This record gives sequence, structure tokens and C-alpha cells, in this order.
Amino acid sequence: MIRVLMLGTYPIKKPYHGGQIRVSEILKSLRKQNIEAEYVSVCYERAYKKDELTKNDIPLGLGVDSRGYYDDNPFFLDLQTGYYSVHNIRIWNELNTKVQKFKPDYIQIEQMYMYPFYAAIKEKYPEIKLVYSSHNVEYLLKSMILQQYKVSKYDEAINHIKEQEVAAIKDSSFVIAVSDSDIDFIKQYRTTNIYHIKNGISKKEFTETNVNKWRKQIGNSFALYVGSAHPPNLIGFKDLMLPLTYLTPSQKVIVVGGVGDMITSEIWNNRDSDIYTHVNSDRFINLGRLDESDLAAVIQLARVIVLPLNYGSGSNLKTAEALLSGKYIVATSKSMVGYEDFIGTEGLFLSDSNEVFRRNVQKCLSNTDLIISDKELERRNVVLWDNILMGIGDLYYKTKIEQY
Amino acid sequence: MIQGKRLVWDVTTVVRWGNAHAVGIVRVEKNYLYACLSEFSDNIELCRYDSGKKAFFGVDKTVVLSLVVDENKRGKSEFSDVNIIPAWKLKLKYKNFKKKVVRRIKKHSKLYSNIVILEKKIAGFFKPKKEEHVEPEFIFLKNDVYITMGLDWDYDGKMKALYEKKNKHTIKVIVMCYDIISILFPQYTPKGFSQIFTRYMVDAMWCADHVFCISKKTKEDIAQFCNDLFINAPTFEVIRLGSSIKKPSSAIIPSNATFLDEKKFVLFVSSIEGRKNHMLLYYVWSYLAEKYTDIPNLVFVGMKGWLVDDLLYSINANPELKDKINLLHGVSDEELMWLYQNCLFTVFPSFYEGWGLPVAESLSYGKFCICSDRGSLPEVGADLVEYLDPYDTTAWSKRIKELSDDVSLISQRESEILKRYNIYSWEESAKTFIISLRRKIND
Repeated sequence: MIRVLMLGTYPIKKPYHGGQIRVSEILKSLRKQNIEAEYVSVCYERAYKKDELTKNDIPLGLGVDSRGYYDDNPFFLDLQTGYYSVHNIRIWNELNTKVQKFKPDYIQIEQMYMYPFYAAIKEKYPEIKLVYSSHNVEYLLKSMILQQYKVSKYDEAINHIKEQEVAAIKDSSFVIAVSDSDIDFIKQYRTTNIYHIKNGISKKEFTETNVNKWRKQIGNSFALYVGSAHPPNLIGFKDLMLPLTYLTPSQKVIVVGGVGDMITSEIWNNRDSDIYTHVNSDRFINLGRLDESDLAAVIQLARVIVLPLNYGSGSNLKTAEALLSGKYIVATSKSMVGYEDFIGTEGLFLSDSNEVFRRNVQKCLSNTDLIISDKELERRNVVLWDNILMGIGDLYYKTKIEQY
Repeated sequence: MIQGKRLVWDVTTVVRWGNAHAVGIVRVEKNYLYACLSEFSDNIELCRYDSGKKAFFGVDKTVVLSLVVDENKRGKSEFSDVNIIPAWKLKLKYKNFKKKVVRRIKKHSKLYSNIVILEKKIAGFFKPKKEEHVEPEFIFLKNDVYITMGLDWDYDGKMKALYEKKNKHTIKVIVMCYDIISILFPQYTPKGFSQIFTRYMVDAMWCADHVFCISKKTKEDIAQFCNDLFINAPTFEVIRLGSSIKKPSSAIIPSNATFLDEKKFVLFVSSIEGRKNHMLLYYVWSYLAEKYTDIPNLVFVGMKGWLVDDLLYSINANPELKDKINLLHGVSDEELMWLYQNCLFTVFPSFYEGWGLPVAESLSYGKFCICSDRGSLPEVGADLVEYLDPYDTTAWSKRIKELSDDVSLISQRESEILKRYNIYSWEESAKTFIISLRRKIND
């Protein structure tokens, strides 16, 4: 049996954000497809609750952020993680022990940050091959985030990320990529063994009791935005949706996920200079993080799901969820990356300018609920993880045979 | 004739102000309401909004009639200054005060917890234990035509409540828009107000089917606002306000400014606030006082408003100007009449107006005005006043000096005003308003 050790920079016991969910689903599928797989992370433990961590999550350790790598800048925690996986003896030893015990055929790195560890361990165990699981073009995304937050003087860090990204692409037996645009980037450095595995979702089940509970609290005249505390999620919302003047006094935008706190801060931090503060806060409800069954109920009640993503690459897991919900969708071209086949389907409004985006949200909210055909809903099942990851195990067997 | 439809007039502001000396907006409402109460008699109902209970309640017509009749009998100048602190301002003041106190006493945690307990007890004491008489809410009927023209931004949640009623009962909503200066120029309003006003205006435009605007400029501004913010625009119509003044029978020199009797002076009637640009005149008079010995006095008539503390300090502290710039407030209508009759001319350098009643008032007294060229002011003064850029201190200095030195120039302009200025009476304005209102009701 092939053994795969997956390495990343966040725990996946309770997957919440897009990266965690993708890694968790890949792990489950590999195991289902006759591959012995383990996932180990080196993570900044203070960012997670205790019950989100397992023995496979190696903490960076208290005080690690004061060791000075890239000025302890929180924007580079992930880069610091890869660095300390080699340069911190405790972390190196823990990872080394895992490798010794598990004896993997492949190390699959989730994004490029753990590449320094692979590069170092390869010296010791040259028989272990690399698989690079790309989630996006990381150096571009990081660079844009830094620009948005006006963090400067970190060109070296961006170059560092790009170097690791390119090295991982070149050094790996095969590469898994999320979107066509990411593949275009990867093809600059290798031409073979690149596999397109989109993001997917699991079917969300809701109960009538839950739906009724939420209906009493939030009604159903709202646009729903689900997003993690990932800076592009805030920036897209700000650029495309604020101010919320285009909503009537009885309509709302409801936000679920970490981005809700970021939007709340954004609104209140600018309360003295932004004349729309009260308009926005009247029409915006932040539900924070919800468990799966509550989220399913809220999705069921929403009139329209919005995907206001205007930069970044990769593909948005929320897009798949929106498609499967059968609700109206107001999306950007960026948010439809990887799901281009669905552009033009009923109830989906592509909106790349803020004017069109707002007009479309307004239109959907004043419409009656969308009724989508069974045939179209069936077609949308391709977004389910089970369908997307159906052949992932074969990639390893095929590669193993080729390498043999 | 109203075809079976009921006109529901929201008199929240009128009721709240009672017989207090009212701001311009309240007087506009009282003038129109007075005319409509007799015109629509049996087909008009009155309601008010209670922000605490978040509900509308009926109001007795006879109570309101006494308030508006009283207003029409006052015989005072139509528009004078505010002496009531609006609710939002009180709330902000209280919040800031509480914040300061809490910050200080939080240092002593035991004292703080005792105060919190005391605050709750006091709140409990004032809360009615059991309401013996519950006032029934106002019942809207299908196809009612609702109109509001008061200080609605003062009533938290009113437009949201109205929007619910509108959708529930399919009522037509008519709103009066005076200006959107607090949105266009938040820098001229106190901290926090433009956010409150913007919320009101966005919600009001979502509620409104028809909006009366007091000038072409206001109509342009509000239409642009709706368009820019993707608010489904209602219809807009300009309604010209009356400019007639109920002049008192005699004029009296202000008792605290008898020295003006022997002086030449220029008059600026307006609340003293940042937007009105008293600062420009301060610079003009500073310049003139430095260059010339014989300059007229400048008289500001109006209550102290927003964002002018530093200016008022400068006027008082400036040894060259403290006798040249005179501040008067709380003047009676007789005193105001004396000031108009005896001034050289008036000035109005405001950065923006939704209408500009002081300019109309100046013309009604036959007085020439040097006026800002911004906002709606050219609609008020037409070619009977002279327009200057409110940022151009040099131009204002030059023109004020020229006119002060050569009274014949002013006389020419005054005779033009006497010949050509038509005073548009409040009665005529109310008649036109009723025709427009009736058309909208029957639409």
C-alpha cells in the first residue's frame, strides 16, 4: 500500500476555512481509495482552540513569534512556520520522528510553506518523493494582501515565497492544482504531470426545526455571504457591496464566517469619516461562525448568495456551495474560476463592476425565490467532493508505476 | 375631491415643538398644514411617531389646529433661529458625557458597580409599573396617502417603521426634502450627525413615492443621490416656499445695540455655524480694518450653532475687530425689522443652501444683498442680488468697500428691487402646494 504523509500549516480536525476543508477532503478520499495517508501540521497554536488540535499538530510554541524571522510580522506566519520546521530543533525532531515512524512513499505539501522541510528531509531520505498540492499562486496573493494592508519593505519575503513555490513545482512527482489560471502559472516551470482538481463541497443537510428557528431571527429577505477571515474576502465585500444603500430598509446582508468580524471592524473603525456607517450597520448582520447544520438552515433561507471576490486565484469553495444551494447567485469572474461551466446558467448573475454587482443583488432580492430544474440541480452535483476526488488515489499508483 | 383616499399627515415635529419658537422647517410645515387642515377637512387624519414605542399613534386635530393657528397669528418674522436642542444632539451629548464619567470612575471599580446598580434602580423607578391606559396605535388603511415634512432624522427608526406600514397597507408616501447638505458636506455638521442624517435620507427615499423639494438645486442633489446609491428613485417636484414676511407694526432698535444708531453697518442674518461662512467675513473685516480707517460695522444676527467656537474667540480677542463685528441673538421681530431698515446692505456668503430664506427676507425688506453663488442661492435672488465666490476673500473685500463708500450704488440696486421683486406669499405657496398634493393623491 502506498503511504502519503501530507504536511501543512494548519490543523484540520475541525475544518472551517477553504484550505482546511480541501486538505481534510483529500485526506479522507485518499484513505477511501486504498492509500495509507496521514496529515501533520506545524501551526501557530494560539490561532486555534484546544479542541481543534490533535497530536498530529505540532505547535510552533509560545514565543516563537519573537524569534525575529521576517520581523515577527503576522502576515508571514506561514513562511515562518516552514522556516522553523527546519531551524527549530524541537519542531524538526518532531517532524523527523513522524517521518521515521510513518515511512512515507510520498510527502504531499499543502501549499508551498512546508517545502523547506521536504528539501531538508530529502537529503536524509532521498527515496521519499514530493507531491505539490497547490491551493493558489501564493506569492501573487500574498503580494496583493500586503499591498491592500499597505505593508511594505517585504519584497524579499515575496521573492522567498515565489522561490519555494517554483522549487516545489519543479521538485515534485506531480502537481495538483485548483484552477486553470493556476495551471497556467505552473506550466511556466513544468509541462507534465499537472492535475486539475477543483474545489468541491459536501452536501449540507438542514432540518425544518433549524430553518424555522433561523426564520424567526433573520427572515428570508437577505443576501448571504459566507467567507473566512481571509483579507481578499473583506476587500471584495468592501469594493463590490458597500455602502448597502441599494437595500431597502427591510432587506439585509447576512454574513457567516470569520469575514463577518472583519466587516464589523471595517464599518466601525471608519464611523467618523464614513457617512454610511449607520446605513451599513442597519442592513448588515454578522452571524459569526456557525456549525454545519445552522449554516445549512441559513443557506436554505437566503434569497441570494453573493460571491464578491475581486482578486486572488484558486477557486472559492463557497462557489460550489452556492451552486449546490439552487439559490440566486451574484458572482464575479474571479469567484467563478474553476466553475466557468456554470456561467450563464439560470439564476447566476456575473457581475464584475460594483454597479452591476449591486444592481444584481437588488434584482435578486426583489424577485421571488428561484426555482431551479431537477436536471440542473443534478448537473451541479459534480461539485461534490466525492465526485471531484474520485480518481485521486490513482494518481499515486500511476506515478508509482511510472517511477518504478 | 379626494377619491375615497385618506390623507394622513405626520405631525410628530409639530406636536413636539408645540408653541416653542420654531426653526424654519417647522414653520414651513405649520404653514402648509394650516392650509391643508381646512382644505381636506374630513379627509385628513393626523398621526405621530413615538421613537420609544416604535409605533405611530393618532393625534387630535383640534390640538394641532391650535398650534398651527397660533403660528399663523404670531406676527413674527417667518424664519428665525433654533432654541430647541434636537433629540439626536442630546443623545450624543449624554453619550459623550457618560463615556467621560465612566472612564473616570471605572478606575474605582467598586464605585462603578454601585453606580451601575443605582442607574438600573433609577430606570426601574421611572418605568411605569403597569400601564393603566394603553394608547391604541394609529391604524393605516389601504391606499392612504401619508405625508411627512418635519425633522424626521430626529426620530430614530421612524422611516424603517414607515417602510413596514407602507408595504403592509400599500400606502403612498410623500416626503419633503429641504436639502442634503449634511450628506454633501459632512464637514459642516457636528461629529456623528451626517451618519444619522444619511441613514434617514436613504430610508426616506426608499419609503417615498413622491418628494417635494424646496428648490431646483435640492431636486438635482437628491435625484443624483438616489441615482448614485442605486435607490429606486421616487418622483421629485419643486415646490416654491413663500417669502412673505408678517412685518411688525413698528421697528425698534435692539436694546443691547443702541450704538448702531450712529453707525453704518452691514447685516448678516443667519445662525452662526461653519457652513454659513462667517469666517470669510471675519477675514474681510480684518483686511479692511488693517487698510482703512472708515469701515462699516458688521452685525451678525443669529444663534451660535456648530463648529464656530474658534471663530467667536477670534472675534472677541481681536482688538481691531471686537468693536467692528457685533453679535446679536434673540432679537425680536421689531428689532430685526429695525436692523433690516437701517443696514447699508446684507451679506450671505454661505457655502451651500437648500433654499436661502435670509436672501428672500432681505429682498422683502427692499435690501440689496451680496450673496454666495453656491447651492440654490441663485434661484432665490435671481438678478436682484450680486453673487460672489464664497472662497474669494479679495472679491468680497473689494465689493463691500466699494458699496460702503458709495451709497448711490446701493440706492440704484434698491430701487430695482422695489420695482421688480415679487413677494411670493405663503398663501399662494400653500395653494400651489395643495394643487400638487391633490394631484399626487389622485394619481
